[in-house]
Amino acid sequence: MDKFKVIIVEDDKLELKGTQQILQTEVPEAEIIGTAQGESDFWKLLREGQPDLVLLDLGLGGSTTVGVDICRQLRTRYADMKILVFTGEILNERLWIDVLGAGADGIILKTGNLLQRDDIVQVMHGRHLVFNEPFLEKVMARFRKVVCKEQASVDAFLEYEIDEYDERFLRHLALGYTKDMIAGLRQMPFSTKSLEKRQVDLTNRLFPERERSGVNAVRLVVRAIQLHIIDPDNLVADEQ
Amino acid sequence: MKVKATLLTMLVLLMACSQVDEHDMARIEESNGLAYRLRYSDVSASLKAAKQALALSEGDPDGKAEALNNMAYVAYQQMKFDQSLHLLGHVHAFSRNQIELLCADVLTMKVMQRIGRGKDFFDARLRAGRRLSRILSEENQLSEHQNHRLHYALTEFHIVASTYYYYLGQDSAARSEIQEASRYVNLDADTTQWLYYQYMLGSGGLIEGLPEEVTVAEFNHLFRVYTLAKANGYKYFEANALQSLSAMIADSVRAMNVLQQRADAYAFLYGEHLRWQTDDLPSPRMQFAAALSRHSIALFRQYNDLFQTACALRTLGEVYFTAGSYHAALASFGKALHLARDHSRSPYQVTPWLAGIHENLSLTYSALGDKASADVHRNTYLDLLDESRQNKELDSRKALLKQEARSEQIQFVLLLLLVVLVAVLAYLYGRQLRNRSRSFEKQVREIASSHESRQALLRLEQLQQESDEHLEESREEGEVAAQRLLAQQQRHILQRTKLSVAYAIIPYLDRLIAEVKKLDEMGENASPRLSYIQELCAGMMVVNDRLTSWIQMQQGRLSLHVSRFSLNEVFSAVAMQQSSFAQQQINLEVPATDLQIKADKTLTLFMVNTLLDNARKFTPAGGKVTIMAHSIENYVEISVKDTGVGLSQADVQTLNDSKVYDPNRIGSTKAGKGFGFGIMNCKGIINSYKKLSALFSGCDFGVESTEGQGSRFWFRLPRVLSLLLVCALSLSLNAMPQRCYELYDSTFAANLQGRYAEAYAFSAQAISEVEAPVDTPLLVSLFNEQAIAAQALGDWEAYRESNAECVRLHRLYSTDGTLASDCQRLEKMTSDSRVLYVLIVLLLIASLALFYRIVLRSRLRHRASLDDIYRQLVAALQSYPQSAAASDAALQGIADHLEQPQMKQPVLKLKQTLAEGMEKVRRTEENIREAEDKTQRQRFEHDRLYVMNQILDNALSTIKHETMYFPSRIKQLADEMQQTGVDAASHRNLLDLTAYYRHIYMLLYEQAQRQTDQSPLRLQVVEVSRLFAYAESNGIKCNATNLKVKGDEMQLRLLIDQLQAVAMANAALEVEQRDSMIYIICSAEEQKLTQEQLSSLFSPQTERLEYLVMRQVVREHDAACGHPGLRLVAENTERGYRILFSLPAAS
Repeated sequence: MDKFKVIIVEDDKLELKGTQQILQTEVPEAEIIGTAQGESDFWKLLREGQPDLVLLDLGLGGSTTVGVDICRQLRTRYADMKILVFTGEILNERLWIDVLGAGADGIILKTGNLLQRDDIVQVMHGRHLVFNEPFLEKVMARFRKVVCKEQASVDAFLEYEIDEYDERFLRHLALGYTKDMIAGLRQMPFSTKSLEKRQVDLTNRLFPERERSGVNAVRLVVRAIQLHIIDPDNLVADEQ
Repeated sequence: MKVKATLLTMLVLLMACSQVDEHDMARIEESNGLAYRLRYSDVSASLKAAKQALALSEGDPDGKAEALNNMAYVAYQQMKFDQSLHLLGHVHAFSRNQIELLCADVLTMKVMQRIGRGKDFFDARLRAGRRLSRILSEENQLSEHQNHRLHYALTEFHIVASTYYYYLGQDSAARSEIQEASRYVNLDADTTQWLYYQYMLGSGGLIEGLPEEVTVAEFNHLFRVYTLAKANGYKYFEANALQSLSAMIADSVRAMNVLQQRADAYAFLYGEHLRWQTDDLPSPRMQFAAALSRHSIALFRQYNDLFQTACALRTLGEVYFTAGSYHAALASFGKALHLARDHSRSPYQVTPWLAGIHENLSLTYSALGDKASADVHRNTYLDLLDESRQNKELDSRKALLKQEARSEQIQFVLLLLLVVLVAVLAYLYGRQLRNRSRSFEKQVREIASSHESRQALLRLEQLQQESDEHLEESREEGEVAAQRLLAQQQRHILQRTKLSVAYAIIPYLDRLIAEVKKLDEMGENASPRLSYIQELCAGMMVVNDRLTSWIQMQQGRLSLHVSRFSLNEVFSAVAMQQSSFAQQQINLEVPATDLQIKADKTLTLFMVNTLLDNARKFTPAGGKVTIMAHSIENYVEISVKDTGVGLSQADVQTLNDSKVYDPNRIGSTKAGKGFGFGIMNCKGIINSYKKLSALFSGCDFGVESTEGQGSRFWFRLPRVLSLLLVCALSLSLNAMPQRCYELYDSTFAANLQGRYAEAYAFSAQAISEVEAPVDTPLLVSLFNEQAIAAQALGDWEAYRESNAECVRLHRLYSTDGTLASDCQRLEKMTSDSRVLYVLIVLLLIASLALFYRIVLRSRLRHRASLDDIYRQLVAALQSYPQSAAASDAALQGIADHLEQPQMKQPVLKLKQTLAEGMEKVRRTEENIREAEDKTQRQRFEHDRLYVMNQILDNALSTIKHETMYFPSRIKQLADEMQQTGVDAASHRNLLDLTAYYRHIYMLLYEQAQRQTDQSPLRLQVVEVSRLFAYAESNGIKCNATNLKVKGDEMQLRLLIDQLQAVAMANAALEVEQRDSMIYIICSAEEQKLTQEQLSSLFSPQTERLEYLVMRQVVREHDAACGHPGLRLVAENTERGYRILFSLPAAS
């Protein structure tokens, strides 16, 4: 890796020192051309010399998410400049999306292993979406959840013996269709009567015996959503 | 009048048509006169003459009627009552002669009196009375013979009535009748009627005065009758006089009076009757009395009058009885009864007379010691008395009827007057109706100014006022709630600020751990790293110091809202969750409690809810969760018990004893549910109570559990004593004494067993105790028993008293109303004059009906409809505004019904006024509802925030307590390592310590963090000028602006408060817009800040919390607006420094 110039933007003195130490000890190629504790300092610094990499803390002083704004401005002005964002906002996932959208090349969560040499190397080699381990752990947890949910849907189809007509029936019930309307769908070759029978049958399948009494269409649909048989994010009506 | 005229014409025609010549007429008259004259001297001869007259009178109805009357009289004297009545009926059937008809009526009265038929007596008397008044009005047109007959009928009429009353014991009525008779009797005109009158006076009861005077007066009358009757051969009166004289002489006192005053007459009589003295009686006087009776009997026998013979025999018996010659008395009474029995074959009984004989017999048998026979006759006597009682009641009616008969003429006049009166009244009524209708119309027209509508409007106004007041109150309440909510919101911002300070430790901790880990790799070159570690520790210590001082700043402030309240309020709030528990098939039991506690209500509810949530989490379907409260000394222990999975011993110990633990490791891991921070929060709350005051020193929290069976979580709070008043009701019962009835039973039994003296005593005692009006039947029975006892004892004086009382009360009690209808029938009886009345009345009715039909009906209808409308109006107004909708509809209905616009318009207008008023009230009520909803929401939010803030206090305090020690300890270790170098053991030690520090810190931070899930901000468009106005009121200069920002005004005010608190001298606010951002700049002409100060002004190391609060407010706004990157910056200016913050511009 070639030598490169770095500016560190960090409002906390102690943390700034820590980051400096990491760079000095682990990334000898990095030349720290300046550090800034606030927004105005940073813009002033930038006028003095253009760095290859900016290590940018999201919160500066009283302005706690100003980093997103800075990142956006940097990216519009310097398309090639590498920007790696630091953040302590462990829980604020929305900010991660914002800052990536603003043009950051990666995010380093200020927890666990913090900044590693490898992260810097990857960014300098032009890779986007560089995340440290804690960040990836969080993303993985999210990913696992989504995948599990999809799997749960597959399992539910098998366990409750749901066929395509059941799914279609439930989905249209969820969309507010009456049984008459559902019976009129092109892909539902059933009469209203038999749909009623199907509803009873579905209730018997989806509910244990002692919970069946008083189950109406709404309760049935909610149950189907809970069991991931229908996906509330993907409720689309079939063609008439 | 017409009827009467017809009758008279018919009479004339009948007379004209008769073919009897004058000779026959004279013979008829003669025979009839003979029959009449002989009726009191020789019955048979009288009958013969009468029959003769009858035989002659084929063409003379008047003569025939007179003959029949005479025959009937004879039959009467011979006690052939049925025959007599038959003859009289015949007269009534054919005769039109009013005088003979009158005579027949009077004789009918006489018969009815004799056989004790009171009602028929009245009928006859009423008839006779009416006839009499009619005849008297034409008296001057009568012939001599007719006058004679009238005189007879008139005197007889009154004497018979007097007799009737006399036998009924109504002396005054009897006297007044005889007084009437005295006006007509005349010795020359009719000797027999004069004798009859004199005899009536002498026979007793009709003269008032001192007993001696009465006796002498009566004697005089009788003596006069005797001498005159004897001289003229009127055996009937001679015998009657003798009989009465006999009874008088038998009485020793009366005899003495007569002897003293009329010695001559006495001697004369005595002398005349010496030859009749055949008995062997103790005194000459009694001998004399008996002789008089014997003579009387003999005369009656000659005269052939069975009834009077029996009467005389009875008198003789009584004389014997008085003289003590009981056997002779018994023989006399027996003969009398025998005659009566002979007679009793006829359907007409002579009841009172028979009763008297039976009483005499009873007494005589009793005197002879034959108790059984005495009782038989006494019972017969009482039965007969009972039969004759109706006479008495009718008597009381009679007075009324007599009065009516007399006032017939007056009635006629009155009737005419009535007709006129009715006509006038009808006219007046018609006029009044019209006036009233007009006044009703006026009332309807002026309904708006009526009392009712004024009242309705007043009530409406009151309602408006009330609802306005209510709205005012609701708004005030809402204001209070809003203020309190705002306080909690601002406090929450402070808490979140503190939490952000606590959070500042975490990046340091992470760096610390990373540095400590790397320490191993560095070898001897560890010094810079160690010093960095030392610096980090120092930094953490600074943050900890800040946090500590800020937490301490708040201590001593009473943040708990302690009040006394009924635990039931909390329990009933919790009970609402029963249905949601039931959905999971868990039975939530919330028994009622009357305990009161002193604590923070919101926090208590929070604690109970927390425990319930836990219980629900760990109780499977079919289980049960119970919430209970009971008092322990001065505390109330509230516990939540479940039948859930339970906790291990180790877990119970951890929960009870440890301050800090990982809640996710408590409880069933299988269930996959953590225990949460609930228990820790509850314990924290109990601890904050304890810190507050000694009153709460006994507060406690605890857990009991058996694995697999369930848990019980409990906490204790101070109890408030309440008093209960118990009221006792007492009932008192009154028992009615039955003693009188017992005494009667004793009397009856004693009489039956022959213990008469005892019976007499018992009855006397019972009588003294009975309440007369209540127990009359009992009293009658008692007097009867007493009379029986007295009779058996031979105490005649006592007997008479008891018997008299018995008979008197018996009559009194037996009075019943059954005859009232009969008497009404009497009154309705048709008569000629009545037909006239009927015609007048019919005419009156017809004219009234016509009047009604032509005039009244329409007016009445009009009035009724107006009346109805007005009533509906008033009703509608009166029910206003309670049932405003119904009233409104009613008013509309009335207006629709009214046709005249001058009546319709006011009603519609009134309706509109009321409806408008009501609409106003409705709007106000809607506002009230809105305000109340808002208040409710604010209270709810307040409570939620309050609990959060409270728990945050506890959590932050725990963080401070439990972790403060670590940075200095780590620093100490780093210091040592700096000197001694890094070895594996010390490195391990340092690593463990930092790891543990981080673990505890993260745990406690998470507990605190859980209480800040939501931003408390409510974004709205805020005019900057409003903020500036607020700032100016706090002494900050501002320039004018019309810019608007998006933000939470209350929180922005908090920010301005902070600016003021950091007290920038001569601070001034300006505002400027840069792109889509509004910058508010607070500049101060103070000394400039150093670079160091500027860069750490908003960092956790800052010296003043206010800067951090500013940062928190901006941060909250940034989050709420979707992270537009809001700035909060401090920078130096030429003359000092300034703080600026940005907010999104609002259009």
